[in-house]
Amino acid sequence: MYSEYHKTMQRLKASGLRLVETMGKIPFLNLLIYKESPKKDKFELLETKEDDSEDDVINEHKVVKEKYIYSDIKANLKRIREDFNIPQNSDVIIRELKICGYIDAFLVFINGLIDKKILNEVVLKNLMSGTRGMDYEEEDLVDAIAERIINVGIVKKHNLFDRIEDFITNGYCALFIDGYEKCLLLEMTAYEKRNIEKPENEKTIRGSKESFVEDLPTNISILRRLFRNKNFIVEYMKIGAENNIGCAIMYVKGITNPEILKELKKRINKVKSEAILNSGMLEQRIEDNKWMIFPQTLNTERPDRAVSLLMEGKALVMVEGSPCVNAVPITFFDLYHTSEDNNLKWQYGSFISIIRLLGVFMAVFLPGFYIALVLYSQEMISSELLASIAAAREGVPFPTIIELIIMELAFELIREASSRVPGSIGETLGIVGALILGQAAVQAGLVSPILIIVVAASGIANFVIPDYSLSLAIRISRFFFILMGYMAGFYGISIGMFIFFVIMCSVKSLGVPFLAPVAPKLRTSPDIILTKPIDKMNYRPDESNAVKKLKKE
Amino acid sequence: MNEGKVGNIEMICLIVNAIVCKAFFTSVAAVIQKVGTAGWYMTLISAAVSLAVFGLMYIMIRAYEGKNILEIYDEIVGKKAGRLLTLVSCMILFLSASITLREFTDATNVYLLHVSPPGYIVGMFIIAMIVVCFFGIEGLARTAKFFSYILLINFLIVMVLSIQHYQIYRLYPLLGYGLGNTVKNGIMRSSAYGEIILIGIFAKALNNTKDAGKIGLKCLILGGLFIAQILFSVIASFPYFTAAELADPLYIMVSLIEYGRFFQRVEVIFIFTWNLSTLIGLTAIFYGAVISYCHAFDIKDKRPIIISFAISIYAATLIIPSITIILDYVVPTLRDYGWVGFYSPIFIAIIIWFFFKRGKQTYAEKS
Amino acid sequence: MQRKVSIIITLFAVTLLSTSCFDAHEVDNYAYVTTVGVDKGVADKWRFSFQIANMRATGSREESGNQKAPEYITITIDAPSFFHAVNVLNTSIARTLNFRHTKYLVISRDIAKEGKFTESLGTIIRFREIRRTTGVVVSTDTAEAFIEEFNPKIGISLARLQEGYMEQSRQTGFFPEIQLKDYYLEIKSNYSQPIAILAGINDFSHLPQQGETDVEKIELGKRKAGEIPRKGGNTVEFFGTAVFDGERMVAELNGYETTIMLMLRGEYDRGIFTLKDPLKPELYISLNLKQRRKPKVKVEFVDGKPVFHIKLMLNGEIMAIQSSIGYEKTSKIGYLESAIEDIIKQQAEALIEKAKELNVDFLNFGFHIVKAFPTIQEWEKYNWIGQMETAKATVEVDVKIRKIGTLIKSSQILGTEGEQD
Repeated sequence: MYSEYHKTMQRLKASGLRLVETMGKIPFLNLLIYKESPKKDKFELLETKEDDSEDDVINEHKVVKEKYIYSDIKANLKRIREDFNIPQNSDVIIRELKICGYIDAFLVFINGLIDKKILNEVVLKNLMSGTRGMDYEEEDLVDAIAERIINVGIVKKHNLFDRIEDFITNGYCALFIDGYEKCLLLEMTAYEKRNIEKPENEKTIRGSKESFVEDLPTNISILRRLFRNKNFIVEYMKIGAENNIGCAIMYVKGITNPEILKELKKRINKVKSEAILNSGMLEQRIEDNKWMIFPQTLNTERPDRAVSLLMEGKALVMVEGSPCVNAVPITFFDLYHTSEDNNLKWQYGSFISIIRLLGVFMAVFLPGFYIALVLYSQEMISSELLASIAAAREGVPFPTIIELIIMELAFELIREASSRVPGSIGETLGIVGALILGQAAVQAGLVSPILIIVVAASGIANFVIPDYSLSLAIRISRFFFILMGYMAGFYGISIGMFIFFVIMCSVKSLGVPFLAPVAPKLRTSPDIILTKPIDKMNYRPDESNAVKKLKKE
Repeated sequence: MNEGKVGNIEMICLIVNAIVCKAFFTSVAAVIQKVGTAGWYMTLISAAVSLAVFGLMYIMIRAYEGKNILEIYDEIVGKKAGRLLTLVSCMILFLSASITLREFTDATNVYLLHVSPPGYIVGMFIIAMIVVCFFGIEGLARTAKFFSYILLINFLIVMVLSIQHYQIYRLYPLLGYGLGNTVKNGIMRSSAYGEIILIGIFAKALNNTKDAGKIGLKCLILGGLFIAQILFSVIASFPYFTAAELADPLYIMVSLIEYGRFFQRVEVIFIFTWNLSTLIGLTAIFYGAVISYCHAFDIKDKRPIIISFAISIYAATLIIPSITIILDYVVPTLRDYGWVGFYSPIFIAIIIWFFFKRGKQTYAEKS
Repeated sequence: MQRKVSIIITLFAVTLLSTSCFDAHEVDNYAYVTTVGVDKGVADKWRFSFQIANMRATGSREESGNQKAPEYITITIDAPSFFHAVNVLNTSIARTLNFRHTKYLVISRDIAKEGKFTESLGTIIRFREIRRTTGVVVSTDTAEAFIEEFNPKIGISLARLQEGYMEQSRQTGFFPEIQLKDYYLEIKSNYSQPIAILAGINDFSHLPQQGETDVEKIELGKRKAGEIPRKGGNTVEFFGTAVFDGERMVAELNGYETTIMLMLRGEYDRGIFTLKDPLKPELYISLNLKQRRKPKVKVEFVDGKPVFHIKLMLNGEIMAIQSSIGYEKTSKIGYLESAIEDIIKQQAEALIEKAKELNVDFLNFGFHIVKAFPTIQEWEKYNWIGQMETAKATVEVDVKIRKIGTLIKSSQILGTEGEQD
């Protein structure tokens, strides 16, 4: 008896399992089956201990390390390697050579900041061949070289490591010679200034007018020029399985949280794509969550913006061949700000910031509100306005929702078309398309004029959003709110808002919440929406957990 | 349970929403019917009673650091009896969520969506709840905080604008139906603040469980002030006999706001306050119920439970066909006797802890 | 995550597909009723009249080729109940009647006097589309005729006209601003009794022809709605107050009485007050009076009967002095002030006497007497509503003239015929 029962049970169990299995194969039904969720190693950015003490990384060798250079060239070499984080920092070049045929010496310079022609044809040639036959027993070989050998305009002598390193990051070439406690600094600065053009997409009124170009070393030299600090570190990595292009990770040692860098490098190393052609492709492969519609990295073509992001403790990723950098980790407010905000007096900055906030809200909610108001809550429109709306609607054959969606789509079409049309026709097309199409549609009685106003206002509002990815996300969410407004009026919109903001609060960029520092509330400089006078901005944003949170005063 | 971390202010926003959202519906009228013009300070008595009960819960949370109240039940009375206490909490939260949701649905049906079947309104609400619960309490709490500022501003605007309808004489006679009646109802109605037990349930999501005391105190003070303010404004805007008639006095009060020809018909501000606050509050209560259930049966993965719970809430909300039954029997019963469900597990646990466990615990700590 | 998103999308798709937007209505699906009126019916119990705004004509600003359609349509129907009437009417106008923009409820005087408001129209308050800010008007003529005349003769839109009437209450003080919420609350109230706006149609017959001599002279403010001697403009007039006892209308107050009533209730905003010159009674002085603060009312019980001590506080601005007597002088201004105080005091005492005769508290004295009762039980037992006749009241008026207009001194008018003071 018992065994029979047992068998039946087993058979039942087996058939049940089979049923579950088959259900699992059908794409829709497999949603209904319980599966243990796979454990993902989710990256969480944990709080770091604040370290605002004086013995920080930048100044640490003032206390610990030797101030003056050694006479032993090996010690000097080691020290320079240490200070510049060589070989991590790969654009600092150390060229070893022999002077007078047998005295050890080396040159330190940063690739891209010096004139290679002078280096190769003048300095190296003279140092290597011109010193032959010099009397090394002479009182001071360093002076002699400076006086007789090197035919460069500015030559300086120094024996302080700090000063020397500053000069190197400023585009000087340092010459260390064995046995001498002096270092020669040769001015050979030559910034790359090839075809640096005005930024196309991020325009400002008062900001700088240069943008990145496609050449990675040039871009780095632009950044080096704007951010002259030896803690600014550039690491090269190779990405792309086939095209093997370079990619640079840039950060400021001592500010950027090392955890972020570790995670970022891990993610970039994981990229096993056939070819990475553009920063956008890399961006998609390193973001936290691919299903969220909000951008999780910030893309900028402005060097000044990139530097300000660096100083906030963010890491930059730059791909060879892309005229822009991606910054991580970012928040909504990084996307929301322009490089202009801090450039202007705080009153002006606050004003345009409020206008932009208004624009964001209009771009997201205006059409949805309109549809909810007109279809569901007519009692909330004042009588005269209602009369205007009703009069405008008379004779329009479509229901309001169709009307609205047609106009929204038409607007999106015009927008997309005008950005694809070559040259200056684009702008004209936009104006002509919008004006003439709208006017004709109203006169033909296809849409009501009030609706055109709504669509146009929300469209214009969308243009105030500085970040292209964010503005796309907002354009898409606008349709979501139109749908919600259509389904259940203001009730639907409030449900939509709830879901929308929960999603927004759950987005993370390298472990940093998207809506930080507002939700969760964190300490930050007072520049979220309203800015305060610039001397109040003492803190780096807390969410990126910078090693040092207090900015230098 | 991997729930993420919730900041203290975020937790306050969450719980205050869960407490206050009930006051947007029929409860206001019910209170005024019972205690007349004394309603606005009666609720403060309720808040004080709840504070006392919360104090008892906090004593236990402090004694067992790093544990939520459900785990503490297990520690004190053993796993099996603890499961019973947990299920009582789960049950009352479930009921509270479904009944408040029903009130919300009916109010929405009357004032906003007249033709939509209740199932449609509840359905949308439940979908939002499910989606949000999938993102976990962290996202919910952050959203709660994000919205709370906006909701607070909206609420204050509405309250300030309706000052034009306040008439001081309507607050008289000051004692309502007598002081004894007020106090009695105040104690009975302490279940209005029963959602405070959510702090115990979410305790582990806090950075430090010891913060629960401060948070609970602030929640009750804020919640009490908000509800008192709502009752005060309604009583000052309508005489007690009219306010008791209205299905949703607060909404009517807002619809009366009128400043000149253009600035009127501003209910829309209030609709957002109303909807969003209810969405946040009920999702928190719902999530609390799911956590309690999962804890009682040691379920690690909450997601399948969320969906089935949501469907049960959907059914429980719509099971009673008529609003009159809800208003006459269900809501008064929950509000008057809900404290049994909310607070009795705490009473039982604290008594057992006090007489049997406390000594052992201090002994263990010493040695 | 893919699972999460697909679940979200599926759930949304399911709701979307399985339901549709139940409550979405296009703006032009509705016919918006601006005014509702009720009379005694002939074919059935009640006669309801609806004024419906023609949105097309109201909204379009530009001149189109076709002739201008009227801004409103009036429909009248005999029916046993309000919603019955609405439902039947929907069949004939091919649009749903919508009351979200209703501005006035009009009751004819007959119905008001019988106390049939709740029976005929009052039940409407349960209806969600009716806003409680709707005005309540008692028409001296039939509601049907009133609604037909209730439209702009001067070129403003219907909505603006109807909203504009209410604002004039605060500008003139000749009629109260009573909305459905006030009226409804006071019907049920045990604090005070309801009042309503009194309105009527003026057929311009009260303006005598030039040269007519045997005309009875009535002071302008003592006339009632529809009887003002004027010509031209809108035919509808809001003037005076209808006083109710419960639901039954028991008295009508004229313009002056309404002004005083509003002062006593503390609802008076501003208005022009005209009085006979105390030194030259055949001439008049006009002042712009404002209520400085709400009246101070003290209540005491003498032998179980309430005694009210009321203090009215008013601010005045001299608008015109026909006699050119220099009242603006500091020495004379007190004289003018006390003259005004006397007049207002007399009128206020007369009005309180009238309230006592009617045994109706339309002066909101109940608001003050309630403060003497600690609990609702005691208050309900006292039953103030029937006690007005037992009350006594003393009135004190304090008028301060703060502004004197553009003239700080009025010089004499000089002529050859005689001389002025």
